[in-house]
Amino acid sequence: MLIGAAALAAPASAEEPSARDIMEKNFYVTKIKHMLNESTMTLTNDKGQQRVRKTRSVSLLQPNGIDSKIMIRFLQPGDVEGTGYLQVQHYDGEDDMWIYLPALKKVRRLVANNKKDSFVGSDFSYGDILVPVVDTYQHVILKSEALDGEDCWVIESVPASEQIRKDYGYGKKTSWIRKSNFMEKKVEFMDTGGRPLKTMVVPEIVEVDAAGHKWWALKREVKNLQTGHSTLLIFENLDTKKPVGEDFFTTRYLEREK
Amino acid sequence: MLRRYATFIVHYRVAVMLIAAAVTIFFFTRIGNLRVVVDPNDNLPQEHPYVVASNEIERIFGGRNLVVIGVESASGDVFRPAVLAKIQRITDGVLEIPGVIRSNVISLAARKAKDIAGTEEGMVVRQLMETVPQTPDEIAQLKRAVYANPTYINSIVSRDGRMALIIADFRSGKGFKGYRPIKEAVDRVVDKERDDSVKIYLSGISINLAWLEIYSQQMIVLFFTALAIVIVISYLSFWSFQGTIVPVMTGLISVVWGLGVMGMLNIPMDTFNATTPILIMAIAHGHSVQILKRYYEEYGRLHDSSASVIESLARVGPVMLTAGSMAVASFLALTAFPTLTIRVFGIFTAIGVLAAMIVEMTFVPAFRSMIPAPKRYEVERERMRDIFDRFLEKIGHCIVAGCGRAIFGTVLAGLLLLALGIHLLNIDNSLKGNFSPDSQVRRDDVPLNAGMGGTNTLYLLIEGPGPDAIKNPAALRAMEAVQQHLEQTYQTVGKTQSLADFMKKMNKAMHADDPKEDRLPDTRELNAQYLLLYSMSGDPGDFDTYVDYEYKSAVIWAYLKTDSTAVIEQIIAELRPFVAKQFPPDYTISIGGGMAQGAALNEVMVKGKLLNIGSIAASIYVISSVVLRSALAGLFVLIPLTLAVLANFGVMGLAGIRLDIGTAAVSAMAVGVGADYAIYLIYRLREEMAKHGDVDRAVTTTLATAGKAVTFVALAVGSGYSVLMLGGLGMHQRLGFLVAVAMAVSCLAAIALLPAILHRLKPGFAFGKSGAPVAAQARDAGLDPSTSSGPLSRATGSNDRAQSRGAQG
Repeated sequence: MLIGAAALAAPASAEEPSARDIMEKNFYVTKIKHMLNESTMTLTNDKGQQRVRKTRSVSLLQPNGIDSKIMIRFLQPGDVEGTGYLQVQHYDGEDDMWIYLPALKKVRRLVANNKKDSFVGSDFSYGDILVPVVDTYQHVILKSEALDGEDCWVIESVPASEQIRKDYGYGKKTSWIRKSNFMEKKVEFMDTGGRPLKTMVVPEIVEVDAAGHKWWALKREVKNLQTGHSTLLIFENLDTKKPVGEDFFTTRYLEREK
Repeated sequence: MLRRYATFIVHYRVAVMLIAAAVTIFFFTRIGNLRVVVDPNDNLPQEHPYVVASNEIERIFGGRNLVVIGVESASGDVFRPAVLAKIQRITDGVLEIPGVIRSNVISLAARKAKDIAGTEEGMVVRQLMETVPQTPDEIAQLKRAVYANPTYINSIVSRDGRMALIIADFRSGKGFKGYRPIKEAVDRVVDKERDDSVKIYLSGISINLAWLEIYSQQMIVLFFTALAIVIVISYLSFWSFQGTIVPVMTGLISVVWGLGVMGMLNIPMDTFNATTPILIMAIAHGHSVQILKRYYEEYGRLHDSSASVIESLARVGPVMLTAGSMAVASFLALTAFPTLTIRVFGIFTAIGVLAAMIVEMTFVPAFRSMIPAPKRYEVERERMRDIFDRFLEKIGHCIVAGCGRAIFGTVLAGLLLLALGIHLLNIDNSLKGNFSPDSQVRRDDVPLNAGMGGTNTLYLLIEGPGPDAIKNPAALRAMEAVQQHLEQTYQTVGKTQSLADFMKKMNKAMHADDPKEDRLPDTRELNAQYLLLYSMSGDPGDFDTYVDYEYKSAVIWAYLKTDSTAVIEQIIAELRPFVAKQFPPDYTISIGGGMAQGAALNEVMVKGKLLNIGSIAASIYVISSVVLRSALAGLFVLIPLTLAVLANFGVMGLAGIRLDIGTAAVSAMAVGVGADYAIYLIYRLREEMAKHGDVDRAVTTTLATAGKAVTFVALAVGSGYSVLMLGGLGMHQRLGFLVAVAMAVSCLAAIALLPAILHRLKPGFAFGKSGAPVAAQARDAGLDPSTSSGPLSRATGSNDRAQSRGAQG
């Protein structure tokens, strides 16, 4: 958070920022202190069959300005209503995760997910939800171009090490970053074998904190090019004003089914 | 009429030949359009419920184009770094093959193979083997994880740990270039890993079909071998250049036309139809021999080549057209068959026979009148008495002397033996049965089948009333019950898998791996929540092969050790009432899979076979009764055919050959070809009776002429086809053997039984009323060539003109 503020406070130079600067700003632009929201995740498989999940979530940014605590409560479909999911992110290690199943009336710890694993059956990986810190990848500006009328930098990012490649499952990412606010507009992912893997588009964004230059994507759509599976994530009722306490992020709160 | 036509052809022979050559070249260029496709669906009756279910399952859950790679450790189990590394490299290699469905690749090293385990705190879902374990501790841990997940035992690792599988599925949509490229790509991955430490086996439908494609290539070699044999037989029959070259040319041109039309109509070829050119060549050759034989006969009498061409065509042409039309009609009747490959066979053969008739009516007489007349020694040699003449004479004398009783007795004894064979006949279909026991396919199948759950699949498709129906505890419990029933009741069932296995495993894991909790959840909500929970650690596609996206349909996979469709039919029959009792009433259960499709094929085969024989026999009866103007005549024509069909089934039963897709069409083929024999014989007998009215002389002459030609034809067809026995494919071998048998039987029936019965009963359609000449009768029919072309003088006149033109040419 502090680093982010410092970067943004730096005097605007006539020179183009470096690829690393751009990606760093992109990294911090969505680090919102706290937020309540509702979201609808529509999963569609290659045959057009859908699963729709509605959730309510609360998040709180940790003092390191990178990790968050997230509590997700499932509202729909009815048979999973009340299911709770608590994630305490650790960018430099394995996240802590708990799940509460109302039908079992028990909180259980979920162990060992990989950064490249799917996030709740979607086309986002855990590594897409908690994007790794900027130096995890090496970034190069390929060019500038307008995408749907918005000026963007096109930045290619490759894993900084073989381990990162393996852990996150990407051989290369190409991002279209909006010049106006550093929010990504589109990201193309290649798998470790160099094949096109996924495309994410972020068509709708909203500024949630003008002073802090914080933005949030109201709509994200990811399509897996290899499986034909796609995920549409739509956020509603964003609230970044209402204070969020640490008490949301306890297993006891998970059990409240609300 | 026909004489005038023959004269016309001989007159314009150069033009006729040029046109024929042009048509042949045109069709030859069309052969390039011909697509050779091996689609297992072509063999299957698409409307059958088992096939419908299989297609639906494969559409939703995959599994259509599986490749199964078995890695067997030469000593000890596969849980050692070197072998596990091979498994990982093969898995990685297979993932790189174009067309592979990456999310459907399963093996110890696959991302999809997850260990679901319980801990005091909760549940862990981890990939079984992300990296190859090196230390004994790591190996022991992997082993524990594998055996703690029963669903993987006998599916990706054998119970004794000596064998592991890598299973991959491939797309067969646009850009699919057959199965050989898949096999070749798999070979490239696997061959690098073959050494003394492991044995690697390949199986799965894609591999088996690739082999089928490879064996089909052999048909080119076999075709030319058959051609060589036919040339030899032709030479032995006529001892002359013309006798050798003309029938072979007729055969080849007919094949080219047949293939060309197939290419033009865009009808795909397949393995089964790769044998068809040999049949067309044999039939065309047969007709050609009949006319050629008559040509020599006439030449011996007239000593004028063109006149003999006209005379032989005028005399034998109508017979050939009659017999040919019957064959065309009966092969076309095969289009009623519900399997595409048989329909294609019917159309292809019909086109070929039609082409043979056209060639024999146009190109051949033109060509024959152009080439030098047979040399004196050739004619004499042709007329020399050889072994066939002596044999046929013996039969003739025997019949005339009234020893028909001996023939009838022999036939009766043979029929009894055949009845026994038909009783033993086994209807069984299996893809693997198409390969010889010593083929690579079968040799790889044996250890895979023995080591793992079984290489033959049976699926049960469960369709619920709506989305989320599979989360209903009653449905999952029913699935569990069906799996237990299958595994406990039938020894041949080596493995079953379904979503229920994973639900039990998750319930256990969520209860800290308490063995008492190795059971299905009691509520729909808990099932739903387990599935959501799993999705937080697993991949979205992990359960794609077990349940559809909306949880409306699920599948139970059963793996069987046997591929006998007879066994599977019994299992299905018993399973149906059991399954119906387990599921809630609004769930529908259908049965599919490779084995069920085999069973479907069996059901249709029996029905189709009877339909097929019935329709062919009916069309032959009707056509021959009409052309011979006697309802009784049709029955006589059926005699050799009936015998050939009975012999076909009987010999199959006695020799233990299964009635399957490959052998199914043999009887149709035998009937179609055999019909020609009876027709040629009866026509010649009528002609002889019309000429001199001497019954005994008519019988012996018929045997010496048409009978001898029939013998040549049967010999050529039978020998030509017997070449198939040299092929590597069991299906082709059986086909070769059965056609040879059918040819022998229908030939003997035509030259011994048919004349014996005719001689005894002396029916009016052949011998005239009370033995009187039948010329008048034949004239009524309007088909007898010797009387149908109007006043004798006119006929002779045109004949003279033809002769003079022939001399000028």
